[in-house]
Amino acid sequence: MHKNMWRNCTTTILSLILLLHTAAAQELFPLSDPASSMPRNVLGVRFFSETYHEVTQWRNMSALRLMYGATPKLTTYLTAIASNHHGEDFPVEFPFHNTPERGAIYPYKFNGAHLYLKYRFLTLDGQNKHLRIAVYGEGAWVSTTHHESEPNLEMGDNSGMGGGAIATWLHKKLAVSLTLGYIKPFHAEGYSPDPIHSLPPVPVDVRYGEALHYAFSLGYLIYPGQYRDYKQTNINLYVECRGKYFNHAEVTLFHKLQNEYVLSTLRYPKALQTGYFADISPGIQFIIHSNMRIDFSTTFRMLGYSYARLYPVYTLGIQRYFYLGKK
Amino acid sequence: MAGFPDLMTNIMRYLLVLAGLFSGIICFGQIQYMTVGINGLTCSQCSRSVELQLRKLSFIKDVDMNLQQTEGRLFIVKSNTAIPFEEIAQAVKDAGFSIRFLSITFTPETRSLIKDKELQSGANRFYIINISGNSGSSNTFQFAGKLFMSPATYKKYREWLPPPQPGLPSYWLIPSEK
Repeated sequence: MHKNMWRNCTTTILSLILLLHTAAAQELFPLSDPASSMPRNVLGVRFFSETYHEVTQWRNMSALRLMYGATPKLTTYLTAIASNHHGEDFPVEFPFHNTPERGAIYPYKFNGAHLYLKYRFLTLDGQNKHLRIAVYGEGAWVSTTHHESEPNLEMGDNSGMGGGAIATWLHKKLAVSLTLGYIKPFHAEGYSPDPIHSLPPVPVDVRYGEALHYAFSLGYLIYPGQYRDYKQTNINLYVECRGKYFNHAEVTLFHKLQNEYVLSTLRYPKALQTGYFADISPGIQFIIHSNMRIDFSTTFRMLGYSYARLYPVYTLGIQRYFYLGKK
Repeated sequence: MAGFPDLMTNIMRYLLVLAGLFSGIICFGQIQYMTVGINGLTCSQCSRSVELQLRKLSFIKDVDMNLQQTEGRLFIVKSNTAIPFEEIAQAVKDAGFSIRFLSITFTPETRSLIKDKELQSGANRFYIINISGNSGSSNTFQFAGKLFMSPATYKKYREWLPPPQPGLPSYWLIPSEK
C-alpha cells in the first residue's frame, strides 16, 4: 500500500518536472496561499470545501470567503465556515472511549468565522520571475467543539490565533512556495453527556495543542502552451506537501466544579497526544476567462497521522474576482 | 514721443529672438500610444488584473495586453490637460506587480519636429536626455526615473537624471532601448 503510494507520488512529481520544459509557472495554489497579494480594491469570493468518507457518511466542511485587496500589499480574508464535522457538545465519556469519535451524526451547522491578514513586505520582480515574502496573521472563532489535539483554524475546527511567513519564488517555468506557520489555539469549554442519562453532563475544558505547520507547494501551467487571449481556459497542475507538528491537549474534567481535575496525558487517546503528520495533495485547476478559478485536489497521507480527518480528503475550490471602481 | 517706436521695435526684436530660440527647442507632439512593461507577471489572471487597473485611469482609452511579452499597449484619450503618467506606474503596483519600463511613442510627424531636447504634448512637457550620444531615429522614448524603471535600470541611469523641473508637469525621456 505504502510502496504503491510512494510510486504514484514519485511518478506524479517526475511528470511535473518534465512539464517544466513546456510550461509557465503558476502560484494560485489550491490549498496554500502564495506570498503575492490581491490587486488593490478587488473583491474576491471563494467557496471551498473539504470532504472525506467516515464510516457510513461523508463529512463535509464548507466555507465561503470574502477576500479584499486593501492595499497593493495587504490582503484580507473573512471566512464563514459550516460543517457536519463538529457538534456543540463533546462525545459521551470524552476523552476516554470516544476519541476520535467516528461515525457520529452531527447536523450541518454554522461553525464560526476565520479572519486572515497577509502583508507582502518583500518584492523582487523581474520579467517572468519574482521572489516575494509575506507575513500573515489569522484568527478563528468557532462555537463548536473539536475532539482532537490538532488545531486547524482555516476550516474552523477550533478557535485560536496564528501567524507565519510565506516565501514564493517563481522563475520562468517553476513556481515554489514555502509557508511556515504557528497556531495558538484557545480553550474550548463544553459538556460531555454522562452515559447514565439521569446524571448531569460533565463540564469539560480542552486546551488544544499548539502547532507548527508548513506547506511546500509546486505549480505548473499545462495548457495553453502559448497565451493568446483571456478566453483560453488555463489548466494548472499542483503538488502540495503539507505537514504539522502539534502538542498534546490538556483536558480538564468537571471544569469549574469542586471535583475539577486535569487529566494526565498518559490516559489520553492518541488523538489528544503530541503528534505530527505530512500529507501530499496533487491538484488540478481550471481558470475560465482568466477569472473563474475551479480547483480540485486530493490529500493523501505520507507520514504520521492527522486524527482530525480521514484520508483521502477531497477538496474543491471555486473563486472569482470582482474588480471594483471600474471607470 | 520719438522714443516710443524705438521701444516697440526693441520689444519686437526681443520677442522675435525669444520665439526663434524656443522654436528650436520646444515642439508640440502627439502621442500615438504608450507601452508598459510589467515585471513579476506570469499568468493570464494577473495580466487581466493589470489591464483592469489600467483601464480605471481616466486618460486611458484602451489597453492591449501582450502576456507573452508581459507588456501592455496603452492608448491615450486626446486631451489638453496634463496627463499624470505616474498613475500608470501606480496602477501596475495596485495590481500587485512592478513596472519594468514605460515608453511613449509619438506620431511620426512629431519625430521630425524634435530638433533638440524638449517636446510639449498637450499640457505635458518632456525633456529628452541623450545619454548614449545617439538619440536614434525612433519616435519611441522611455520614461526615465525611479517610478518608471526597474530598480536595476534606474540604478544604471540614476546619475544622469536631473532633478524635476518646476512649473509644468515634466518628464525625462531617453531614447528607447527596445
